[in-house]
Amino acid sequence: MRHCNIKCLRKRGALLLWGMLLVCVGLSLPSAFSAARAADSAPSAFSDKLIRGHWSEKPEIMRAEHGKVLLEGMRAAARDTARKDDNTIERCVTCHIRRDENQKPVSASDARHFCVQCHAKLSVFINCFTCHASLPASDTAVMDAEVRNADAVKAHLEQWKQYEQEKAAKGAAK
Amino acid sequence: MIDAKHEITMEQKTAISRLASRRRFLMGAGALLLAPGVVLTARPAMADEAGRQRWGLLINTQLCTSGCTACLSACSNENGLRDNGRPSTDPHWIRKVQITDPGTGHVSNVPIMCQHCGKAQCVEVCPTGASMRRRDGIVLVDKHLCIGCRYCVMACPFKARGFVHEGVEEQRPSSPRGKGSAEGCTLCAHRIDKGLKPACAEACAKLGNGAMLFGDLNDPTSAIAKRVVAYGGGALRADLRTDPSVRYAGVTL
Repeated sequence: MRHCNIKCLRKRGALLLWGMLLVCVGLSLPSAFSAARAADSAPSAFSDKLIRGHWSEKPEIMRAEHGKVLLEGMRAAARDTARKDDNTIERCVTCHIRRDENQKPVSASDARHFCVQCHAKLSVFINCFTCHASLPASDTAVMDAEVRNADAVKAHLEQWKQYEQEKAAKGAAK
Repeated sequence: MIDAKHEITMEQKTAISRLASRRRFLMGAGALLLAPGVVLTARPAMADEAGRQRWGLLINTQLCTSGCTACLSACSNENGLRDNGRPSTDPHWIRKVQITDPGTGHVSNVPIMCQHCGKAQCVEVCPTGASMRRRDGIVLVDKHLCIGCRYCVMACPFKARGFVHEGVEEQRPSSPRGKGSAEGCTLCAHRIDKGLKPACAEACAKLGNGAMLFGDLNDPTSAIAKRVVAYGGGALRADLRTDPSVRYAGVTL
């Protein structure tokens, strides 16, 4: 075996390091691609189920930041006269409407209300509905039965039903 | 030391003081006569430099009748104001006041709401910055900041600010309101943002007597600005110089 001086050892060490780096990159590439695919597909799959569009493609952001988003919307409307209908509490309760057994939408006084349900689960004690309306007044979905049976609303309810079924199936599969 | 040339005789002194006092008297009278005219015409004739709007109402009290409550009910309906059976604390954003001229016995009906003042006293006194003036001149309460101290209620010379005394249910989505916060007419800011008239002005035109004219006071071409310039429009408590956006025609205030 040839005697190896310090210079040679340094060279070998560097090569070894490069090799290890390449192996690491090689191992992580497939998983990175799959993660990227998952990141692309998951939100769009979710947003497809959302009715009448949503401000965010990523529900995780909305779950964490909806308070800030709503406050921003309020400030823009109240102070800067830049009112937008897509970041209001009315918008939240329009899409995330929950109904009782008689298909009547439930208000925040009911534990089944979308916002109340999650806030109760996570012990969040801010209650927007002491001041804000917990039901959308202008939305066709909460109007009387004749209006609620309109085609657009039927499609809306069907879509929602389908989404909940899929979610249930997904939960069962897990 | 006074130069002999510039020495003023006693007679000249008395003449000057007489002139000065006469001038003072004339200036005082002029100010008295001109003050309302200056306040009323200077505003709308000039557009805002920044191009901002200033929404206002011109109420013709000669058209407003005593039996009509179109604006009141429209306001309550639009903003979800419900009576709770206790008149002293029931929410009202508009109240109709009858002014009787003792000399002639003529009765004028004056609907009074938040006057959306240019120099709003409620904004001046608010300790938290909740009471504020929007970019387009509408005076609002930021209920997220309001602590319910009621300084604004006391400061408003028009008694236009109210307080929510009891818990509210089934609010209108466009008009959030809850117990413990100051509130007042918003000039239906949510409707204005959508390009609509305030509910009271719309109801007055449809169901009432068309006494309310809504528009942009900063736009010299708007109907309200033209009307105010041509016929005038009195300000409630003009002596306080709060520069209100709600003007009244047909009544001597």
